[in-house]
Amino acid sequence: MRQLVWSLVALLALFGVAGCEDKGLAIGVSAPLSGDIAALGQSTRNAVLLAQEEINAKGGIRIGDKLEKITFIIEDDENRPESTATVFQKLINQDRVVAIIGSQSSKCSNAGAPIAESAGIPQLSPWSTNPNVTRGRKYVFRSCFIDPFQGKEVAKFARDTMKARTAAVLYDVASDYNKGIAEVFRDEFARAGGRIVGFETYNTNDKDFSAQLCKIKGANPDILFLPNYFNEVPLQIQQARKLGLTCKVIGSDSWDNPELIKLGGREMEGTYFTNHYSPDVDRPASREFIAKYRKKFNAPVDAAAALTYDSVYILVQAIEKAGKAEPRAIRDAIASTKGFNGATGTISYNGTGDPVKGAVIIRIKNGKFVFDSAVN
Amino acid sequence: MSVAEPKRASLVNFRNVAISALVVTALLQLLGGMGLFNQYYLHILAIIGMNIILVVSLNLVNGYLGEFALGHAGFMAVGAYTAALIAMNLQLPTALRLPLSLAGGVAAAGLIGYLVGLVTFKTVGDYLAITTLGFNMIIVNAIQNIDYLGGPRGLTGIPKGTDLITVAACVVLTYWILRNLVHSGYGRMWLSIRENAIASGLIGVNVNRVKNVAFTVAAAFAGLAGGLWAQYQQFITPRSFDYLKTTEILVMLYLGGMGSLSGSILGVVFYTVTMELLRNVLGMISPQLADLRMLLSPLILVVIMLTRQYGLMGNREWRWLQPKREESPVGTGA
Amino acid sequence: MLDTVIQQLLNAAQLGAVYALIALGYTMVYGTIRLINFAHGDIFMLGGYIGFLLVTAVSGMPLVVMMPLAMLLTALVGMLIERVAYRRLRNAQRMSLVITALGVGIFLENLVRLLVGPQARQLPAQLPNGVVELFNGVVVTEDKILIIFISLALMVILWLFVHRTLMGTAMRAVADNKDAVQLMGINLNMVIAVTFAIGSALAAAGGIFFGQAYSIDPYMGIDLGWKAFIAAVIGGIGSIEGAVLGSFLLAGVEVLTVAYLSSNMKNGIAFGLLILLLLLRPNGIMGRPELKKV
Repeated sequence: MRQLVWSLVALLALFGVAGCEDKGLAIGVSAPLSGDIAALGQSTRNAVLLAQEEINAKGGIRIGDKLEKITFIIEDDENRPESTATVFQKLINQDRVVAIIGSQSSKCSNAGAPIAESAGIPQLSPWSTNPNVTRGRKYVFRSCFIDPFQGKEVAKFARDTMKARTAAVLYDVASDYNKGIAEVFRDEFARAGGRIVGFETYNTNDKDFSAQLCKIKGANPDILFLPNYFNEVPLQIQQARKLGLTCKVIGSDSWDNPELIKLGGREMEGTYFTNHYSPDVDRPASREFIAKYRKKFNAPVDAAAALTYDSVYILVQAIEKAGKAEPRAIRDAIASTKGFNGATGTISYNGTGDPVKGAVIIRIKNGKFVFDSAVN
Repeated sequence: MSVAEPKRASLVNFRNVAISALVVTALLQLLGGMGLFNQYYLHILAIIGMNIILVVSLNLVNGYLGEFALGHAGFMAVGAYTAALIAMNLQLPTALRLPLSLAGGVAAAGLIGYLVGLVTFKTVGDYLAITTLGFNMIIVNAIQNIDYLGGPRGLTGIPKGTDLITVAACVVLTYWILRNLVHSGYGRMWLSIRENAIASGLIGVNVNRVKNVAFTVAAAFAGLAGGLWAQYQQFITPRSFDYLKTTEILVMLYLGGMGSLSGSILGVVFYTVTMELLRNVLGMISPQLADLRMLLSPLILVVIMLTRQYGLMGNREWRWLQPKREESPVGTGA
Repeated sequence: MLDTVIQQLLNAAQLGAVYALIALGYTMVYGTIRLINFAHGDIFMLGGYIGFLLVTAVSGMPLVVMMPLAMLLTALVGMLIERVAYRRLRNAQRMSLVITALGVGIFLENLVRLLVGPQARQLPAQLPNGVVELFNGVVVTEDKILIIFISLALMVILWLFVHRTLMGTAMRAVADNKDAVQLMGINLNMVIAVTFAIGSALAAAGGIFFGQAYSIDPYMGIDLGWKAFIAAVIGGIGSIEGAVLGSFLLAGVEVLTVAYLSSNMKNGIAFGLLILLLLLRPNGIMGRPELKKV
């Protein structure tokens, strides 16, 4: 009993102290700093810190006619929905943030969204591609495209450009992103006149895919679609090649990380994937971001970093446009964003939480991501 | 000299504590609704409440029965999905939605628990641990493959039903039922099985049936926690109920002390509060330190286990949470 | 048809070899101090990382130098963990030790994440990587064969150590009766330390192979640790032969489920079969039924 009372007193005292501090304009960030996608959390934090430094170096953010410094409060949601809910409660009620960037995975954004929605705090997720995240919600936005759009584009590319007649898919059945795209691809590819000859799955954290790939090899597809994360794809391709599977391979935006080539080496040559942007296209905004990021962190840029960086600036632009740091006004300003010129392309919103933006097809050539074509 | 003066009944007893807990939570909820009390604290209290239900119920099997079950999160999943489906699909009046969905969750989890128990209690010890863990994985894997349940995407848009008062009421109810069970004839039989299953069988305890009662009850209450959770978070996904959740429940249980219901409460409060304190303290020192939270928390756990081998409470109980007639504490000699 | 079956069996053998290297540590530690060492999966991860760091620090370090060195270092870490975190609790209730082990595991995961970074890494391929055609159509890479054979060799060495040396006899004696052993003048602390060292070294070998064949990341020990634990229990926890058998059985069931039933329900079907097996043999395949006195 004594311990209980003691710890509760300590808790309240500490929370009290934490609550009193003045942090300037506070914006919350919910990121998976630990847990299975911690690499992504690191990029998220890097991108946010880079943006914060830039904004505050200019004196801060212009609200009305005065400049205000900005603080990003970055919390670890461990890539767990339960923790994300707690993080959102803390950011909104304790740190009194005016908006939240995050979270990254769709399952976490989905857990935070009801809290942001009922508190009337705008939430902007950089990387959650599940259509459910924004559906029917007023305060929830994202800065990436959604699964159905991408699945459709990949299927079209495989059928029309690559001239594939048969296709096989290997995807993570326990992960919503992978499953979402795989299913759209299957339907769209069949609709375009192709035939799916293999639809195999594995579970998150599996590292051996030989059993599935053996089966796919038996079906002899023209093309293999791997809508999986960059840390798994190289293993899948390496194992496929070792088993003698020689067909073409395509992927999705979850490939976008230089680790892909670092891990996969020359096995990655000649593969294609859809992405939000292409680093080698002559877009000043992309080039500038990549250069600054590399210089500051000495780390390669991935999709999560670029999308987070864009999310921060969409938000900052919205706050400046609203002219006041008031959640409702910020929400309206985000919703009416038009032609935002970011690192990942031109982003507009029309009415829903989902942006209107294009995609590009990237080809891996000589160990580099090279622009192949654009889709809109 | 008078012999053994009758002790004055203390005001601090289960009934009074329960009533004041309910009143305080109702008050806090009200203040929170008016913006006078930090919702974040309310959220932490709600999490504590739901975890108490999970841990206290697992204590029945792992503490009192002395088995090592590793599948509690699986039953939580059954309760959560059942309750969510009832709340979303049956056109129930709002007043009935929460109680009926929770009842459905409890019933479904209890039923699955009973069936799983029938199978797993054919094994003992670490083999039982594996079979329960296996069922946990099977349940999660099955949900991932059922598109009607949202598959790996989970279920979104579950109506908000649970608030702090509901949680508090469920905690009090759970605690009351489990405490009385532990002190009933069944409780004695569980303890006797824990101390020596063969000897218990010889004195006429139907070991497998009595074990399965504990298992079913524990699963049913895990289902209650799941049902509350689904309608609190309004979103559930199968991965939330895998063995990581199971081990989290285990850690809170053993942190508090096996075979002590008050210990379970203490374990949950300590664990949850420590995790949030770390978040706040580290954030206050420097925003860069959020990373260290998951490094420091296991260290704290190890240090506590090294200094307090039997958990924070061991197998002692808070007197005021015990039934009145109890003279000597139950659960000594693990 | 036959060629795919053989191919799939080879796939299972490689996976089983890695499971076995981890499961052996589980089963040995369990045999001596009845601890389910939940940190063991993370020792396996640590072994992989120590190997990775060695190769990165001294580029071109050959595998024959790197692997024993990494095994030695990991063995030291294993002994250190036993000394600092487990020894005090040896006579406490069993579950305190299990929870402590869980804590140690989470600590190791996060330590590696903070020190080396959360990204997945691959050890430079040092095993010969050519493709061998066994007979018409069945191809297998040399590294796969080597991994299977080196693992089996390590297991044989372990078996000989346990059954043919004095220290091994002492370990088996500790497993039989901890108290009587001390009366015989055997240094219990020493025997347990050696057990941890050997278990950790084998896990390190597993981690290095894993990093060569697949990739390593700070959290890889969680899932593989659980799988190896399951394999050890299926085989009959405490039994060395059982752990090896259980590992190949688990890998076989997993691979064949994917190959001939359904990859969607891999975990479900695999665990269903394993539960069935435990119902038929409630003490695992090689486990001895525990004698109980009333």
